[in-house]
Amino acid sequence: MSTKLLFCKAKTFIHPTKQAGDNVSGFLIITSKDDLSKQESVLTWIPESGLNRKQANFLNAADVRFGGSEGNLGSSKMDSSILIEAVGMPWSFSITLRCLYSLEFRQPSPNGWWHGSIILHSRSPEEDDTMPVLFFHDDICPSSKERTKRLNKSFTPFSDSGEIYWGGIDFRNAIRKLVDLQKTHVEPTMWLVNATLDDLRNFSPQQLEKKVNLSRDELDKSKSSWWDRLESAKWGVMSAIADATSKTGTFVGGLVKQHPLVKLAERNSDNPYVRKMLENPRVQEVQDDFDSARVYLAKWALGVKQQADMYQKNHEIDSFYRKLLITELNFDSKSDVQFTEEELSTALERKFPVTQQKWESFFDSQGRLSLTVNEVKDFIFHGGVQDFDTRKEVWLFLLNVYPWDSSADERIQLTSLKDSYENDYKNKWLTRVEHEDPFEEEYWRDQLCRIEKDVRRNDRDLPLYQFNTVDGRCPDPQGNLPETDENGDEHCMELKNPHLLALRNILVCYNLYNPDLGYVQGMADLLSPIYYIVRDEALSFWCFVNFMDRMERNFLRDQSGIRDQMIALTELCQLLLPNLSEHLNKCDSSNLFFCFRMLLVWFKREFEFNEVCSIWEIFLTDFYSSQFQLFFMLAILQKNSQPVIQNLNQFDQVLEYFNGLHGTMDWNDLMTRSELLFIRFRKVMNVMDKKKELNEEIPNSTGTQSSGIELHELDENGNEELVQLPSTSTYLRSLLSKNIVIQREGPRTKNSIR
Amino acid sequence: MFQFKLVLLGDSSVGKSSIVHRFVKDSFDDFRESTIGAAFLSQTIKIRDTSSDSTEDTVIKFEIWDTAGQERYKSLAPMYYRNANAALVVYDITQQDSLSKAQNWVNELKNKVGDEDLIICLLGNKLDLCDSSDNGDKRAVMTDEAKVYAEEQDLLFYEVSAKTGQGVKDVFQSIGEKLYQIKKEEMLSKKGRQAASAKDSVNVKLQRPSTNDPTSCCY
Ligand SMILES: Nc1nc2c(ncn2[C@@H]2O[C@H](COP(=O)(O)OP(=O)(O)OP(=O)(O)O)[C@@H](O)[C@H]2O)c(=O)[nH]1
Ligand SMILES: [Mg+2]
Repeated sequence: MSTKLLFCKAKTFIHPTKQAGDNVSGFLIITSKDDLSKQESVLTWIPESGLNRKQANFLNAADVRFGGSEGNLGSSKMDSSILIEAVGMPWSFSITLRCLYSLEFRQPSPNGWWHGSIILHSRSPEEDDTMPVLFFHDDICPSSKERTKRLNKSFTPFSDSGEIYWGGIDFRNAIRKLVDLQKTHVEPTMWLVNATLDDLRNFSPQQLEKKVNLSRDELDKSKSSWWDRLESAKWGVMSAIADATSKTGTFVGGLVKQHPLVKLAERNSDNPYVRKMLENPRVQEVQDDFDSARVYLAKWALGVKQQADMYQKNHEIDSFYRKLLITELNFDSKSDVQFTEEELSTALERKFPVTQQKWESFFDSQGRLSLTVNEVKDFIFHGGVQDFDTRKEVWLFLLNVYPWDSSADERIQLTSLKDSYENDYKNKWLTRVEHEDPFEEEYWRDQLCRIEKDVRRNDRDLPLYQFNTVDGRCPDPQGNLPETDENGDEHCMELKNPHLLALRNILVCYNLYNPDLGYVQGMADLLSPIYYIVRDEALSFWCFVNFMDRMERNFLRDQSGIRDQMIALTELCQLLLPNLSEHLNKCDSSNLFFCFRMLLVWFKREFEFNEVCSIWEIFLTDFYSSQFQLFFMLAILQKNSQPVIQNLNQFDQVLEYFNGLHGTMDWNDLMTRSELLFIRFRKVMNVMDKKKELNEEIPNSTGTQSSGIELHELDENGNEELVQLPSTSTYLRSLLSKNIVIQREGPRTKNSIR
Repeated sequence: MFQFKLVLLGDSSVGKSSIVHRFVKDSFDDFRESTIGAAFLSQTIKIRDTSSDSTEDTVIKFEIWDTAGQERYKSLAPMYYRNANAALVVYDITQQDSLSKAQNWVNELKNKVGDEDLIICLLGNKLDLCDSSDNGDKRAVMTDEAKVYAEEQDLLFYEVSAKTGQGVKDVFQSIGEKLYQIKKEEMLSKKGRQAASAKDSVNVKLQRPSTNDPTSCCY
């Protein structure tokens, strides 16, 4: 086992007394053992005086080297005797990085009166006492001097982080590459190592200061000015468009120009009376003749609203959602259902992504999870995964290919999975003989054909799938896009791109794995992100199989699985967004059919590919509910409810509107709303449950109307005729569960729909 | 201005989306993604009214619903074709099977919509793959076979190529003219009956009463 030197800083001092003469100079180094994870790297401080000449030279050279390496970690082999000897030296200490709790970085004074220093805090209190403060004497440290010189030459005395450079920053940059290091908000000099979410939230106090009980007045004021702003903005947009289009004379322009509202706007651009009039129901009726423009209008309105939201968000980040809670989610201080501060700060703090270092910090030296699964999911749900390589690992866990309680060794031994894919499915397919039943044979061919057709046109704008060449690269390295194909005949083009082939293989194998369901259009969309992230055919296959457990219900022949979700969503909507629900009713859209595509492939067609990955990752945690996609859908409805209610009134219009949302939505914002909606939903359900119990306890009593939500009524005679409480709906109940809903396709027969 | 609702039906991958994009954007993409649920697009055309003495063209607007082809999603189609003024039933000339799928659609439309005024147009696509001078001819459905069927059923019939654009505009043009004709007759007869108020026919949206249950798919 060899030891590697990852980092070294010379001229770091311990000041045992106030006398400068007592200061002890030494090296601060980080080392690692070959086969251990970065988390197991060790930080050691060695007094210079304890080293022999050769050792000191080695470390001094290393210091200079790191000083010039722009903060990259080193990997040079080191004689481990230095470390062994260090143990016995006075003042020396060492600590494994994962045992650190926090680091304090205290900058040097600008005028050089005192040195910059760091204080290390261990997770175990006993150890904490043995670690002295380390002072960075940059004025005599070769690497710090060199760096300062270079920064000064480029006229920027600042380091990358914008701070004035000092030696401690080199150390911080190095350690950041090894463990997760997060700056706290309360105490900017304090950085947490591998912080738990609880720590992060505790150290992030800006949420806690504000109370959700904003005074009504203040709120109303901000609300009305808010709508004023929106209204006038909308007004501006309309007249601006009318203006622009009168010059271009396109058809759409013509159409817009004919819109009575626009005409009015043009003629009376600053007449408050006209504005008032537009709210008149008569005017609304006039509009009805002009249906298509309404969809345009609705989109403008949303666009404007989104801009205003953005503005609002950027300027008053925290209070934005708090106000939203009250104005749009009907959450006020009088409501029975209250958010606790904790719930709020949890939902509103979405800024701690899971980095590579963070992810590694979740595991012990055996590579076993050292947090609870729920804690890990909390991280993923609230922060997402930051980089691509980490995402691959995380998804293998989220999709249950890696068991949560497995060790690193056990995970390496997943070859059995690979074998099983190759032998049980892929080979079976490749060596398949013709089925004796011609009908079955025809079905099989049909499925193959369907899969090929869909793979061929799946996400072809992504570089991974773009070129149909054997190595998947652009055939002409000059970057000229190739002509379609040799013979320009895309129709019978054979698949060559290895990644497209992998997609095809996986889908064909899944067709064997689940013969009742088979391949259904849309599945290629579901597989594509998984393969993109996992990049391994066999592992992706198993990920997909597990993913399909929960997604199978979307593809059933009788559409019952999708229907169940729409029913649940309808009930949710009635419960939480009653105004919108009522309006959709009027539009003949109460079945929420327009959500079909979004639910079927989990918003794949409404967002950019990377965004889709981020969204799915959150759904896959089942952190609140295994059907969180419905809350996300609900958030989309909620977000769009204003423009829909104001502008749309027919089935086709609503369908058209929700069909055209691609590229208009901010998924982060929607995710926060989803979470708030969920929490609210859970509380409402709780309140109703309590209510139900109460009602059961005191039968036939007329005086039991408590302050809860009045969702049940007494009939005229005052008898407790229980209106079905929503909390008893099995659809709504199922939304509180974290267990995935599995609905299987029935056996396939000759007459089954393909 | 008149607006008409138009829906495209037909087996997966016959080129419905490609046809719509050729018509609306005059573009073609070899790798257009498969349709899930349905897609909405709109486009306008001009109609010259030869019977009237006005020299002005009439503008009509198509609201086009392009649906997903796989049979599995067939039960959703009524949501999209309800209130349609015209249906384009597409098959792939190089795939015999796709014609029988198209015929199923024609039957369904006739049974479920049961409206005389619904214009149904049978469209054979991918004509570019059928070059008889070349031995790479992939034609699997003979023009006559489809034509005879279309005449029997009283459908409009065309063969087109979304890839080259051949014939695509004509299809929409003739459907537009036909719809306009019907609309005009409708208005004239109305005028005859109640000799009034038809003058301001500027903003007319054709809405035919729905004859099928809109919620039949899911509830
Ligand atoms: N050669 C040729 N290929 C075509 C033509 N039209 C479409 N295609 C190809 O056929 C494939 C399917 O076209 P789409 O337009 O997506 O088919 P669709 O009917 O919309 O399919 P679904 O959305 O699955 O119902 C694509 O790869 C197109 O490139 C055509 O006129 N000629
Ligand atoms: Mg399509």
